[in-house]
Amino acid sequence: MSRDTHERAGRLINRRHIEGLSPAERQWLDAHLESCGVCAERAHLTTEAIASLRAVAVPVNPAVVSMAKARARMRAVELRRRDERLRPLWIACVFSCLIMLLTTPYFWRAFEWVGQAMRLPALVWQAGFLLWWSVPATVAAIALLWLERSGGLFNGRHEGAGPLEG
Amino acid sequence: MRQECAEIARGLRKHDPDLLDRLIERYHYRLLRYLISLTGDRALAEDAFQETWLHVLERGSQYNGRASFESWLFSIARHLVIDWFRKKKGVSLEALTEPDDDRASLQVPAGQPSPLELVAEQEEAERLARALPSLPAVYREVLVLRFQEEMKLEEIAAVAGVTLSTAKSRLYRGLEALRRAIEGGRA
Ligand SMILES: [Zn+2]
Repeated sequence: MSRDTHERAGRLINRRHIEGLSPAERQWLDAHLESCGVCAERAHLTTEAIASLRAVAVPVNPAVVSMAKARARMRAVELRRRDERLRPLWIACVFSCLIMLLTTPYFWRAFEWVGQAMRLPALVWQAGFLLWWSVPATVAAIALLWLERSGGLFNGRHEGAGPLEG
Repeated sequence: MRQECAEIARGLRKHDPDLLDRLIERYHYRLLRYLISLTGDRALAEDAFQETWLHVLERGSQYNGRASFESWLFSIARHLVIDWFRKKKGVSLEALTEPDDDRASLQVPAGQPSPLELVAEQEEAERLARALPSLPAVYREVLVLRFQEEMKLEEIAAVAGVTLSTAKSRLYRGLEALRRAIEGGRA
């Protein structure tokens, strides 16, 4: 038998366990293994190696699992609390955006009317309108700052990160 | 399966602590086994195990429920270990990306029994326990994902963050290296 034949057998032995073989390839390999002791031993060793790999057992320290559960629970509670604190803010943001969108054309006209009635330069009443327009965003930013200062909104995951930090 | 993944995704978005409890209970063994094979160090693997679950919580909203949860979980664990090795241990990223030769970059220190060795009882298992840590980490990883986790090739590629052809090539080379190492152990 040529060297190529054994090399092909070697490739098919591995492929059988990784991608699988076509029926024709399987048939060819089985026939080769019947007649070639070296490749048969190689096939046997490969199968054995995979079988032992599948049989490997890793002992688990229950304390590690309990600790992971406790830390995850604590963090989940923290994150939920953060979500709860943020929720009213999100609702307020959505609500104010909606109001803004709906009322902008009317307020623009109102500012224009007041500007003309008071004989103000266009730039002044337009600046006034912009100022009014930015009020909700400013309020949201103040609320975020206040939440961060009072409860640590973004104090994040570093609390109790423990063993990995050392 | 799909529905279960979607439920997990929903629970993670809500930071549901009970869901986390169930996930840890269900996946702790497989995650730990994977981390041990990846790091070759039990203490390190246990620390990474703890941290992985915190990352799962924090990045829960990134899990869309379309891919399998274990692939996502393992890829989070993998990123964490790579990051960690890079930052704390001074081991380059290449150690977990592609070995230049057949020497392991993240080997178990000499003379120290690996966790796998500790539990090896039968002769064959002992041979494997000696052979496995001598393989480069990237080979150990794909072998574990394929033959212990029974993952599909596509899932292995997703976890390892490589193309399908790279995942396959690592598997072929890993299997070859494992067989040779076991053969060497017999001689
Ligand atoms: Zn042959």
